[in-house]
Amino acid sequence: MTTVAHIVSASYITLKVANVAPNELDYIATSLISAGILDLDHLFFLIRDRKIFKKVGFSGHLHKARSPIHELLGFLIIGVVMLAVSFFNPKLALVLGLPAMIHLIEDLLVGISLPFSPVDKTEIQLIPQKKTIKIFLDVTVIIIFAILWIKYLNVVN
Amino acid sequence: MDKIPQRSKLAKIYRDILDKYEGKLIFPIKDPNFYQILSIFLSAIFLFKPQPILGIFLITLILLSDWMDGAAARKYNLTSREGWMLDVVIDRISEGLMFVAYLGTFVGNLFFSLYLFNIIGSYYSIKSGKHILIAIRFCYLLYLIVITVT
Repeated sequence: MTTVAHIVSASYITLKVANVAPNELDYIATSLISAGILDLDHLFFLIRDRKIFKKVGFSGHLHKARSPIHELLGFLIIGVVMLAVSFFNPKLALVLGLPAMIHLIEDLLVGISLPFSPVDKTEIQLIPQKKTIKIFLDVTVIIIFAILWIKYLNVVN
Repeated sequence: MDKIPQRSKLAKIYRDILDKYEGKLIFPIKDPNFYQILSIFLSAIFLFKPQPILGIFLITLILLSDWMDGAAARKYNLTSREGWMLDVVIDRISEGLMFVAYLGTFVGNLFFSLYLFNIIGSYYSIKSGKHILIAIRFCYLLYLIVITVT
């Protein structure tokens, strides 16, 4: 799934779950950053292994351009942070961690994962998909959540 | 590690009971992955903190779909180490989704902590070949039943 699709979907769901009002801009900004920041993970590997990716292409290989933070280990790290923050501010804990959790879940649903990396490098795939279906899903998610975002923000006006 | 980790003696007690009824299950869809995806979407409903009665119904469905994905895999000879791994990951995601919205409450923090413990337990299972996990969704079901009845 593209970063844009992750950001619009994961942050919107979180804001609804955490009951964030449209004028609580700090929480909104936090959720948007949390939803997208995990994809910086890809950047390091894409740059480091750019010669390999130039040869094989990105399609079907993006799961190799990310760290174990994109797998089950990421759920653990995010969860520990959320648990710690929840003792001080449960709403912030949700807004800080849930978008990242949803990002990871979306990647698991629509892509190839190495869930027990770095302990085990076995690849799994929940829903095998053709490239055209992946693109269709991405576009659909972006459109649907863009509409929901507009409706959400229009509550202020 | 190439094999699927072995369950603990405690887990084998209820597994033996479930195995007796497994042959009688009817599978509208043969693909085990369907029941795993269903489990995730049912768990996501807990993000919106359903009432205890609805929670009991949902957890029952989630545990049933968790049972059915393995049962379908066994019935149609689709078992594999990758399938087991997928099942473990889906169970962790289900637990995370179920308890994350309750963070900040005592019960929510407790079950969320157990979910984090289960993630560590999952890595241990892969490394050691021993399946050691806490059935926290089942424990939460019992908790909901108790608070509904009392």
